[in-house]
Parts: sequence; structure tokens; C-alpha cells
Amino acid sequence: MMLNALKRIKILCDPDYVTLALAVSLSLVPFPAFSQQTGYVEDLARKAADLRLHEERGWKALLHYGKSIRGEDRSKIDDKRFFLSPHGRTDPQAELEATLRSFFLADSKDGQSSICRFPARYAWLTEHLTIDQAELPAASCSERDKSLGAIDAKSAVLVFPVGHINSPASMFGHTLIRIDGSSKSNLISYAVNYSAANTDSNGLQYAWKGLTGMYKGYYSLMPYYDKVREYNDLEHRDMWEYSLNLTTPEVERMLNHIWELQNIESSYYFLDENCSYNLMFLIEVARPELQLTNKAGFFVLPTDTVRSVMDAGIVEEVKYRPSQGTRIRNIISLLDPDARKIAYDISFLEYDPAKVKELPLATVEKIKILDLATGFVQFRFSRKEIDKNTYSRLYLKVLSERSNLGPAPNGLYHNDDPARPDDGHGTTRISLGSGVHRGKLFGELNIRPEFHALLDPDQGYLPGAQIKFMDTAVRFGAGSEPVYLKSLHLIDIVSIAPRDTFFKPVSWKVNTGFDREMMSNGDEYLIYRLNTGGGFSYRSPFGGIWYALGEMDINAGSKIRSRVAGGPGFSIGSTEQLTPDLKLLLNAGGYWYGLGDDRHSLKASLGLNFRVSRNNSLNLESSQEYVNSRSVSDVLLRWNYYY
Amino acid sequence: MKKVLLGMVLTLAITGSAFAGQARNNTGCGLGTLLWENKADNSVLLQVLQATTNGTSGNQTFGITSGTSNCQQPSKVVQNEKLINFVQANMDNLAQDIAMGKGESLDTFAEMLGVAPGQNAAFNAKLQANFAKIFTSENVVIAEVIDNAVTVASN
Repeated sequence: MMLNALKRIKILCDPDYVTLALAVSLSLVPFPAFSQQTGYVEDLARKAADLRLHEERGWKALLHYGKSIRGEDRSKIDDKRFFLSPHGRTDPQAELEATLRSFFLADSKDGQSSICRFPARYAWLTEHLTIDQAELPAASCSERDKSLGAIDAKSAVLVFPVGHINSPASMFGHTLIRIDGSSKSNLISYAVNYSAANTDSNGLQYAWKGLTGMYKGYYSLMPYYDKVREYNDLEHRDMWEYSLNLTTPEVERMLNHIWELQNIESSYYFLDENCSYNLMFLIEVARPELQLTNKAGFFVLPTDTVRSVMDAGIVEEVKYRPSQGTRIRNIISLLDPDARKIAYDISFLEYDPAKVKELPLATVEKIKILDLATGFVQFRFSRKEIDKNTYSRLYLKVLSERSNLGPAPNGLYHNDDPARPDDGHGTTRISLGSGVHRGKLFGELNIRPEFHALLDPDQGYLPGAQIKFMDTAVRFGAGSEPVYLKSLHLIDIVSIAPRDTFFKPVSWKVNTGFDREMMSNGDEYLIYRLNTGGGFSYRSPFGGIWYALGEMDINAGSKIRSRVAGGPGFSIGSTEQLTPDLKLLLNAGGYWYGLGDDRHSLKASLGLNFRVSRNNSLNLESSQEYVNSRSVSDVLLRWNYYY
Repeated sequence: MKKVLLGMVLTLAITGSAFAGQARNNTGCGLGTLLWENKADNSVLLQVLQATTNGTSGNQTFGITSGTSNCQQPSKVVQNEKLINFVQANMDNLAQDIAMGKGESLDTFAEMLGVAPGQNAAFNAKLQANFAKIFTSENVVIAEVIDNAVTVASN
């Protein structure tokens, strides 16, 4: 046996390695069977090194390697359990060799072999090194086989739940991947999600930890219907499903890799290493030549992931899944006010659903009333406005009445899909403009790194929602200095969510940053501002969403009488997409800085946006302001380019 | 109406009494089982931020073979955890779809029951027409809904 082993080594090895191989095999004399495998492992390790397999994109994707600040390989995963080499996180070659060797460590106990633990790495190495299966110790992986078999991976879909209007942090949306099997229904497919595990209930703590990577992110896998219920039904977020043209072997590779990520933690960062960035690795594992993570920018937003798969040309079909809120609003739009009132009263237990069938209305109207009531009863229960018993009884009563009316006519609730998220403008905006300020000509350069302003075209975005980061405007001319900062808003969020009979959200805004403002002496200076407000908005029957907000404005600056001033204010206005390419924004606001200053201001502004193409638009903005009865006028025309 | 063929139905009818005496904990096996019930909602700011991380509390991360449901098992279909789990999580939507005579949850339910090809429309119509026989009361549980649906469809 020993002789056989030696012979084998001689045949397989390069002459240079014979001495070393002999030494290794001799040191293992008491275990001749093992030495045979060892020789084979050495051979494979050398082959891998010769082929420089560790430099291949496929390997780097499997280990989530990215570049560190110094340009070295560094895995985005910091969990030690993910690496077989102690240097695995920063050394792709060491990790590859350690992984290879681990496959040859015989462990016949079910599920104990690293082959069970790392099926994607195993498949990749087996393929690239043409490993002879007969040389490997037998491994049985019943748990893995059962789980992965249950998923039955055939194809993959990138799912994008859009943002939640009233929840600014979610306004960017989210991304997950659905793995479809052979069943017709997608609800029973599985969804892969990357999310942060958190148990904190303090909002500020939550924000701080999220921004600084103190939360641990995990990949998770669950039935897709749980995700649909969460986003579509509970959070009222529409979902978009982008089916990818990945082949079945590619999707199997992805699923095998997801198995490797089970319970593996990595630091979660809201802005870059978030759900969207980490999902790109999965697509890359499926098809390494896509190189999605290499192309990712500094911030990675869910829409960026969607755009990157679109740009990679791997999207086959796009499907829209309207949320419960969208479906309810759609039925509302098909009913007259009296019928709406009946549905509303049913959900408040003030109208007996059994009386609907006696109404002098066409069956289709009764169907709409009961369907609307059904949706709204569910909504009220999810808001905990009614308890479970009341809900169950009322819900079944409404449905029982509904079941007697037969199916709704085909296409009754048909609604055209809204603009797709990837049809919207790019999230970074650069603008060049010119205008007249207090009668003097100026030029303006404006850079907004992220995301969407109220006056930007709505296509693909939530109407009434604005999030701007680091919005910076520099002007030339019409000031005391040749070049000066006009404004720099660190963050500027507005959520205009219209109320109706059924839904009663609150509209609000938060804005902080620098602004050049006119002081009581008539001169303009840079101040730092913190502005916030809340109020209501409604959709007008004559068009537009109209809002009224009560506000608080705090200013700080050297030219303010006592450095810091604050006072109450208000703003009222309207926003409306007049035509698909023309948007209007009207606003009037006033502030009284009674505390710390003797200034008051009134300002009216009008903004028009003309959409030229997906990534180009033209703004016309005009305002008239009165500060302690001195007036300031400002007109600006600018070109916006998005990318 | 003609009888709908269901692939998953037990050929040998087992009487419901086999399960009758079981002291099962049937909480969360009926209507109104909301997955968001344990979501934190004590601070507006938290709610506002929660959606960014899509936070899951705890490590219930890999729900592939979802394990035995704590609900009573139906007696008229082949033992099928996936079906029980689906109906448990989607009972309200399924009730709505049955009442409306169509919908994605109903299609999924039909597929899982093995409704023969071409019989979906008949299956949907039968279930809609017999809604009250399937959802017999507000305390109805999964096992009853499944068994009732099977009875209605096979008659």
C-alpha cells in the first residue's frame, strides 16, 4: 500500500516537488490510506496555484472580496466562521487552498464535512480543478440536500419593493431575490433577503448604529408570501419583479452559495454595504463575468441594483405587484362618494354588509363596495383599530356577502402599471443655470449627490416624496463676493402624503443646512438652519396635491442679533404633474423670528420642471420674498442632468 | 356542478374523529394571524427607520423546511407541511380570494391541492358558491378550512 502511494506521487508530481512530496508521505506512514489523498490534495493545490484560480472573479465573488482602501483584497464578510484559513478574509489564495484541503478531511458523520457546509465552493473547485470524486472521502449532507431540494431552484427574480411614502428611510425602497422552482405559483417560492438583525427600540440609537455598521447583517431565506404580505399588505409598498435570465445551473450555484451564508454575519451599513450591495454578490456568484459589485458607486441604493441588472442586460420580464393600498385606492377611484361611504361605514361596523345586496345598484357596484370594505377592514385590523375577534367576525360577514355576488367582470380593477423604477431619472443630479437676483445677473452650479426632489420628474418615484442629501449650490455674480455658497443642505426630506376618507397620513418635513438669507438690515449672509414641520395634505378635485404645514425654523449665524434665532412659521402649497413631462410646484411660507432676532419673512415661489428625457430636465424657478418689508426677487433657469 | 379532481386528496377517507380529541394549541391557526404582530411600533422614528434595514429581530433566518406547524392537521389531504404553512400565513387572503372567486392565493391553494389541469375555473366557482361552508365561523382553523374546501370541491 505504501509503495502504491509513493508510486502515485511520483507519477503525478512535477520533479521539483518529489522530495517534498516524499517527505510528506513519509511523515504519514502510519496512515497509508490518508497519504494517498494527501498526495492528491498537494497536486490539486499546486494546480490551483499554477492556474492562479484564486484570482478568478468566480472565486472572489464566492468569498465576497472587494478592494480595501489600499487596494488589497478584503472580504466584506467579517465572520470568522466563513473562512477556513485564518487569513482567509484578506488572502484569497490561502482561503482557496484551505478550502480545498478541508474537502479531503474525512468526516463520515452526517453534515459534518465542509463539503456540506460550502457546496458552492465545492462545485466551483471541482469544476475548475476537475477533482476526481473517487479520491474524496464520502460525505453525507442530508439536511442540506433536504433543504435545497425543497427549494427546487430553477430561475431567479430580483424583487424591488418601492419606498414607503411616510417613512423616509425606506423611501429608497428595498431589494431581495426570489428563487422560483417548478411550481406555477410564485407565492410559494423562496425569497433571499439581506437585512440587519436588531433589537433596539430607541430610534436614535438605531440610526447611529445603522450608519456606523454596528448592526450585524444576515442573509435570510423565507417563503415569498411572507415578504409579499409584509411589503404589499402591511406596509402598502408596491413591488416590482425583474425576472433574470440566469440559467438553472447558475441559479443552483446561487442557492448553494446562499446556503454557505446561513447564519454568517457581516456589518450592515445603511448607505453602502446594505441590502442592495450585498445582493449583487449573489447575482455575481451565479454569473461571475457580470462584475456588479466592482461597478458599484459610493452609495448603493436599491434602484442602483435594479439599474445595474438592467444595464447588464439580464432582465427578461418586469412585473408589477400593486400593494393593498394601491388596490384600495384603485377601487375608491371607481366608486362615487355615496358608495365609498357605505364601504367606509361597513368597516366601522356602522353599516350591515347584509344590506348591500338590497341596494338599488348594479351587481358590479355592490361587488366594488364589498371589495373596498374587505380591503379596508384588513387595513383597520393591521392598524390595530379593531381587535382580532371583531375583525374575524366582520371580515367573514363581508366576504360571505361578497361570495354571493359571483366573480367580478374581467378587467374591472385593471389599472395601467405606473412608470417603472428603472425608468426614473438617475439619483445624482448636476445642474447649470443662470438667473436674475435682485436685478443682477448670476450663474449657478448645483450638485445633488442623492436622490429626488419634489420638483424632479415623478416617473419611477413616489409622488410627494423628497429626499436630498448634500444639495449644494454655488453662485457666481449678484453677490458681495465673486463666487459664493448659495446653499448647502445636508439633508432635506419632505413627505407630502395626501389624506382621504380612508387613509389619514401626516405630511412632514425636515431640512438642515446652510442658506444665504437676507437679514433685517437688507444684506445677505450665510446662516445655518434647522427647519421642521408637520401638517396635512389633500388631493384637490381640480388637480394637484395641496398641503399646509406648521413649521419651526431655527437659524444660527454671526449676523443674527443674538447669534441664534428661532420662531414659528408655515407653508402652504401644491404639487402637480400637469402632463407626463411638466411638473408644477407652488409654495408660500412665512416665518417670525421673534426669539433672538427681529426679523420676519414672507416668501412665495413657483417652480416648473420640464422633462426633456429620462436623465435631462429643465427647471424654471421664481420667487418673491419680503424680509421686514424689503423685497428680494429671484428668477432662475437651469438645466438638470441626472446619472 | 361537476366534481373537481384533487391530486392531493387521500383516497382512503380518514374520519375527522382521529384528530378530534387532540388538545392542540390552535392559536395562530385561524383568521387574523398577522406576521407583523411582533413588530416594534413603540416609536415613530423607529418605525420610520426600521424599513431601511428591513430589520428582522432574532435569527429566524433560514425558514426552508419550515418545520411542523403547531396547528391541527387536516384529515382529508396527504400530510403536507408546505400547504399547512401556506394556509396558516395566508388564510385571510385566501378567504378573500375564495369570496371573490379568483386570486393569486386561491391559484396557489389549488395548485398545492393538485387541482387537475383545466379544472381551476370549476374549482374557484365551487369554492366561491360554498364560501359559508368553508369558512364556517370566525373561529375556523386551517385544518377545517382545508378539509371543508376539499369536501366542497369533491362533491
